[in-house]
Amino acid sequence: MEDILQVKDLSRIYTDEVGFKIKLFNKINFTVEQEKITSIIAPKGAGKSSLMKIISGLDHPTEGEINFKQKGNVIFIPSKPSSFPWYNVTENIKITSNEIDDTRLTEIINSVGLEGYEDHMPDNRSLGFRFRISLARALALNPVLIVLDEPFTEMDPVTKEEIYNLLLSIPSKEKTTILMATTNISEAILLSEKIYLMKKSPGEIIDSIDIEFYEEVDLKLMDSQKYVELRRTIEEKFKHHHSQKLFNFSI
Amino acid sequence: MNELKIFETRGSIKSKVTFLAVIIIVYVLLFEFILPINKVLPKPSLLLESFISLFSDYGLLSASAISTSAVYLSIFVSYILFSIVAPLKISFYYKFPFFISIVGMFRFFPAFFYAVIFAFWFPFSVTAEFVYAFIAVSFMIGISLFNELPKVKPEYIDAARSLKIKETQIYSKIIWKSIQLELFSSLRQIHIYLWAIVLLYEFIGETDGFGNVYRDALSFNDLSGLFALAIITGLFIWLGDVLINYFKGKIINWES
Repeated sequence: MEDILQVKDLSRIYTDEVGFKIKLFNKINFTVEQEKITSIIAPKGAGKSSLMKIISGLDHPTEGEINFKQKGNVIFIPSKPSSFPWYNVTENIKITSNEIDDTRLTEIINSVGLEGYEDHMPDNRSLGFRFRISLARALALNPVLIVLDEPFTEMDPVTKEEIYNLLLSIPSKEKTTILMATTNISEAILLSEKIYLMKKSPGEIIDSIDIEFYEEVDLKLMDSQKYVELRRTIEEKFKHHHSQKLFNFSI
Repeated sequence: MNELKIFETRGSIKSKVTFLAVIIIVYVLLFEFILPINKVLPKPSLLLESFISLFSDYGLLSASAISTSAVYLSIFVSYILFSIVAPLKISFYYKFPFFISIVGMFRFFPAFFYAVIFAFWFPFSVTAEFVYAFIAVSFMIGISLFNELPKVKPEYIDAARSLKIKETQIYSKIIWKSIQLELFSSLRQIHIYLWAIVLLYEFIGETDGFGNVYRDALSFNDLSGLFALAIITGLFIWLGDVLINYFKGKIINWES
């Protein structure tokens, strides 16, 4: 599969309340392969959300390029529930795509596991329910890329496992690509085929790791030797970078 | 455990009715038989008579028709107008926040002043009263809207923009919808406040309505009439509150 997205030397500088110019992230470079899930792991404050918004076209970089190999919709799903609680499931999905035919609508609803809930309102439902609606709404626009910003932060473990498996099925079933930003190493390992490690102050990509694709996620995978080793490798890379930075700083 | 008991007592209709009955019995015993002549509270039998005389002598029927129309029509028309022009209003609020802050400063002027100045400009006019009520409620809804806008969840706006929803539709389908719950809560308070300023306007401007009946009752030193009027006004306001709450339940079928 070829790359669908190429991010080149992307930087973002903002001015704080006092007037100081702060470099949020600096010369970010990475690629995203078509019909795959790619993750960016970064600590809080590294500028993940800003990066995801810039890639989605909701914000502008200070410098750098974002090149899509294919034209189409890029849909951003924020970390907090974003399905509109005043519309039911179908209305939420149809909010931007009124022309969507019933067959496709049913297909999308089935894809995200919302069959039987077409007339339900998103309120008083689990975060998983609201995430499924956001995902269905994105799929209705046949996106080339779905950008997820820390999607599982407040979900309980059972819901997480369900949503992990749902997400894994989406790229091949819907012929789309997913880019996810997270602070959680486990979910990046379980879901992605490629992980980029990003440090903070300023945000920079420090390394990348290719992961074996899991057809189905079971939280028991987290007990496997392979998973433990991978997690340790990622943690070591972050620690190594941090100590290097401290060393430079002390000099 | 004790807290739970207190809560249950508060919520019990039976205890409320019992409490009210005790108050009424004490009031009847005290002011009908022990202190029938006083300037604090009216004699219960006179109070009952006053309910009838308010309609027969003071023309409360037409007065109530004018006051309630002024209050509820202005709320209804203002809310509908706000719904229609929501995209325009919200975009204006976003583009000129300083203007709204300046206009918002007028809320610190006492409502009494507005009533006086409006009565001064348009004396003895029911039409002016309707216009006054409409301006007052629109101003209050406008201020509530302005206060609620910063509370709109940014994730809704981000999601909407990402879904390529047009800017005007973001205002009407997302922002306006998302503040409905809080706006209706404000509307219940606005409704009570509006009654106060409409009564004040009628009282000062001597236009037909409840306020004018209060003025008449006061000029005749009709203590029981004033109390009967207060009870009827209170009932109207309470019914209005119930009605707004009912419509809130009908219009807003979601939770924040």
